[in-house]
Amino acid sequence: MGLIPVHVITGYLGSGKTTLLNATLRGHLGHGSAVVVNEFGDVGLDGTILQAAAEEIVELASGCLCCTMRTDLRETLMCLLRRDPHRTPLRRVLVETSGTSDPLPILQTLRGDFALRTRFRPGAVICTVDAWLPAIDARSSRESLAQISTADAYAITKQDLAGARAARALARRLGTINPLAPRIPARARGLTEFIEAHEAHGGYLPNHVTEAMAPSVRNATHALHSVVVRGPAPHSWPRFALWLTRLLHLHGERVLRTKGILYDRTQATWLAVNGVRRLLHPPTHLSLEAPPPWGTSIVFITEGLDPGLIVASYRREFGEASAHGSAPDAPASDIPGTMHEPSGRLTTTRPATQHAGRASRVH
Amino acid sequence: MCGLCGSLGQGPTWEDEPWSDDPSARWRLRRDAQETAAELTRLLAASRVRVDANPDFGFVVTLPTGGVEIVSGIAGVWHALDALRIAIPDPLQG
Repeated sequence: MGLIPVHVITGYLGSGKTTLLNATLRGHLGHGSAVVVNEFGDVGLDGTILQAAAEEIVELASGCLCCTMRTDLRETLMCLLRRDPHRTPLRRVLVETSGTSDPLPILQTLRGDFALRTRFRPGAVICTVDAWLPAIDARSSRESLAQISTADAYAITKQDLAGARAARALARRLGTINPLAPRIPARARGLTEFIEAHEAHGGYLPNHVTEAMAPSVRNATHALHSVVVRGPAPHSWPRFALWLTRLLHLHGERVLRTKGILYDRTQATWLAVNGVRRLLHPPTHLSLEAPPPWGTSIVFITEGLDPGLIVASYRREFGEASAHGSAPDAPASDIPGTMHEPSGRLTTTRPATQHAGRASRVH
Repeated sequence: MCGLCGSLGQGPTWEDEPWSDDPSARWRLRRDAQETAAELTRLLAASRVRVDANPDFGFVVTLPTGGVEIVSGIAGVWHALDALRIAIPDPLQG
């Protein structure tokens, strides 16, 4: 049996998590789905609201999931596996966090606990953001920024109250905080399609990532920066692994997200790396129909850390890297479909059209 | 299974039957782990820390005092060095 994806629905207080999830569960996504709801407070209402929609609702009402519920989350997920065998097989778990939760510890629990790691895998993190009362202005909390920067996608809710102009402005701001996350429609269909695509592609959507790699450097408010490191693929994977893990171990609090695609010369395949602060997911092998136009690229979203230091460090370790310009700057020899003619001249079979890809997960 | 998987991934577990029947995958895992250990030893030479690979359980970190720490992966090496107050070379400092 494959690993069961655990998706996380996060978002600040009152941003519409339960409303969106409830609408989504009424569709076919509810079939085979279990929902774990975290309430902050003594009276759990969200579980009641969701009660009729999913296969199973489990309510954790003892506080903030990220701080106190690791053991409970583990026990809850293991209990879900032991449920009545005559019921629909468990296909996915959806965890709705409390509005003040940082989703990272949930992912860490899934990856760090052996019993969970061999039965579940981290799925998508979807963040709802309220367009009417956005929590990312001057009074924004660290929790809200953590939710947005950890997200794989975000949905802007309450556009009917805020208006389309406010929603567009908010989308621009979210793009500067987390350019890796695509915006999905705040409707049941949008969430369903994203979750199903995430599951089908093994938890990796290369087109979204490579589209986000188009900009070179972005400076934003909140002391957040993002940078795309482009350059030759590392010549040594152990050396790259030590470089990346050291970077995240020493500076993980300031490197909010890491996402990249790299070319493996020895096996002629593309690899994806994905990290949230100090948590680094196992690499994923990609089956791309065409190579990404930017070649080897790694995106870092940092807070309070000059991203130029990361570019300089990569350059010292692995050769000339670039964080500037929009033209492809990876050596052609990094790109599959590129070959040496007998004359020694480089040619490329890379099509001019936009890439598309599907991914397979490596366990 | 590629070199990056060997270095960063969790590798096969006793529950992964396909891996146990695939000697080439096991060989690659062993080779990647040894290369990673050699890189770690080179990186930590100034601290007189030596790292050896054991693909069955991770890495053996030998300290300047002769003490030994057993860790399950690269992250475990960094945590062990932190706990022992041994400086980890910062990649952002040239």
